[in-house]
Amino acid sequence: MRDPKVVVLLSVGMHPVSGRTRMAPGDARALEMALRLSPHPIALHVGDASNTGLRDYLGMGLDAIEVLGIWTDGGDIVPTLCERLAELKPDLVLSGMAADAGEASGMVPYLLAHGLGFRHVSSIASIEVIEPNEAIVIQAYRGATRRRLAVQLPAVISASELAPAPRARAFARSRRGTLQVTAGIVAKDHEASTWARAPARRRPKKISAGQTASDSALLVGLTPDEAAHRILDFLRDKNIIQESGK
Amino acid sequence: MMRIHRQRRAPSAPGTVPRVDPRKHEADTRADAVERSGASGLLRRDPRKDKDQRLRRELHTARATSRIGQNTHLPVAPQRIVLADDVSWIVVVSLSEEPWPDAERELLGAAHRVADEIGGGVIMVRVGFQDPATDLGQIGADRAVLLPLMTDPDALAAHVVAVTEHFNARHVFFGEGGADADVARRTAILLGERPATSLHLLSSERATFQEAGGRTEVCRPLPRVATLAPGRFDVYESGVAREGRRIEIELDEKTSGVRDLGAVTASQLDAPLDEARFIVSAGDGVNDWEAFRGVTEALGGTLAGSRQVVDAGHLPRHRQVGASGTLVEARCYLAFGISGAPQHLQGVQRCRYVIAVNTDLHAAMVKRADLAIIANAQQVMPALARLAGGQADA
Ligand SMILES: Cc1cc2nc3c(=O)[nH]c(=O)nc-3n(C[C@H](O)[C@H](O)[C@H](O)COP(=O)(O)OP(=O)(O)OC[C@H]3O[C@@H](n4cnc5c(N)ncnc54)[C@H](O)[C@@H]3O)c2cc1C
Repeated sequence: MRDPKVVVLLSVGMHPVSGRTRMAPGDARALEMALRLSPHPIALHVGDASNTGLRDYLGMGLDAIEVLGIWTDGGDIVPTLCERLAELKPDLVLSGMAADAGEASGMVPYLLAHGLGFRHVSSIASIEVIEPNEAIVIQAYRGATRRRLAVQLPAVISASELAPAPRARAFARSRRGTLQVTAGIVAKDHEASTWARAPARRRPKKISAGQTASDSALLVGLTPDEAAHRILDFLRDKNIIQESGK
Repeated sequence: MMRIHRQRRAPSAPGTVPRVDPRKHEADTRADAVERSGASGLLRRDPRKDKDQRLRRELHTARATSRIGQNTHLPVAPQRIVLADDVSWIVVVSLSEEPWPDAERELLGAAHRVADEIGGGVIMVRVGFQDPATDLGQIGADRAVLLPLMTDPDALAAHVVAVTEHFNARHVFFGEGGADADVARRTAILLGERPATSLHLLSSERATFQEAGGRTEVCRPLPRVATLAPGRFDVYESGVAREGRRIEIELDEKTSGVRDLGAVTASQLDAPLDEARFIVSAGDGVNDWEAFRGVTEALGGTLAGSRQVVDAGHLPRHRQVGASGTLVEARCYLAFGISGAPQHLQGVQRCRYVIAVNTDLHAAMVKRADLAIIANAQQVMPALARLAGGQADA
């Protein structure tokens, strides 16, 4: 198809140890995916242009990032993004799976797809082809076989943590790229502002051996064929391999 | 004998017989017990019997895990079954490939804690493959809705919503991870709810999760849809069985704008280890490398090994499982000739099933395994390859 119109949504992250702002790793994968589809994707960020984390994305090869809003803490980015995306009418909107700062509930792509009436597929490792009306994508989860999906356009696609790692950044590019600020009102997230917040406490995880199956079996003195039968039966019982061949 | 504890009795229609699992021992006498206690009404727990049962249960599990040889029938302790009728419901949803090994049981445990506070019951919606060995009542389900395998998350979410509305459930819980997390968010959108995600603590009133990358703890009222973080909730205490009554619900066909074109069928042999679903792994006990590769291929598994064999150059470094290799999350891990050093076991912590083939009865890998076979790997590997391969031709 003609060059698809690709928009990528970028948030800023926070380093888990130092607390310094940086690009969000999941969003960087979405940007990597966008740059493989189009040399000049449109990048959107709702927030504060003075955030140095945004420069990391520019270093990956973006010419510019559109920064929307007059940002104050406790804002809700969804209405602002929805409005801008409705104007842009993209074919594809790429996002990460969840921000790594803020509530990080991972709801933004779902709310946007719902608000815009777009399809949405999550945990995508790569986009194989863009056809006139649909995209062929690969969905990947840990511990599961990859699946190929065809999704109708326009669509929101969330990049999996198993998607290719973001390319190296060039310092010069991160200086040269521009942050284009469009001032606008950002709605308040009133509900979230009523929640009680406190510094996180360390809560140890529950200790578990990783299995509660009480029916573990220990078998001795089997012939190799008997052993093989027992293993195959187990694999079939647990649906690891299918009944007969494929 | 069996004791019945009714949370709230619904007037049962004359002539209806409560469900009794026919596979259980003493099915006939149990059926009697159900009817009798149904007529006599509410029965209370007897703390001394409870203790007695707990002891027997411990004995039972101790024996079950240490037994050797063919499965033998152990005396089954009498069981108390709790029935829930006409109560507030909590729905837990589990896709058959759990996002982490004990996800399903942790969800049921957490749901019951909330259910106990509000005097409610738990409905389990289970999607896809049903392990015939799991009794859903035993792991904590009052009701069970079994759905066929669905790869379309929108269709699945619509079905979850249908179940939720049918029972007017107060809450719907999912595991935070994998496709389950995706369906959770779609369900929340359909219900018009703002979900609480990755919960660490939970009560009927409050939900606690972390934000700002784990720096802040946030407490909010428990919403209708929530996802639970792994390893934060105790599994359901399996001594008290629930009814696990199966519910059939009519579901409409759903379609969405996403078509599933099927699994990516490239050979799994060299799939990235951190994604692999089924790993066949070799340790120092393997010396027939052709047979090892052959059996892995025949089973459709992914190759891996211990550090020992990687150091020896039998497999490349990125195939090493363990603390200094890859921490794998495979659904099943089949280990040939691996001793199970702590550094290695750390790597398979998040695997649901482990099978070990080892000549040493006392190897740590054998203790960790769900199925352990004391045999020579060199002999089992070709036999298994032959059987699995022959099957594929059939
Ligand atoms: C800092 C550090 C980090 C490490 N990180 C890792 C890591 O990431 N991953 C890792 O794997 N190890 C790691 N190790 C090494 C680890 O301690 C063990 O040395 C290693 O896992 C042992 O590998 P193995 O089980 O293959 O070999 P062995 O311990 O030699 O065990 C071989 C097993 O094969 C059995 N066997 C022998 N012959 C047969 C046969 N014919 N049929 C069936 N079974 C047979 C034996 O009974 C034995 O159980 C680390 C060690 C250190 C110090």
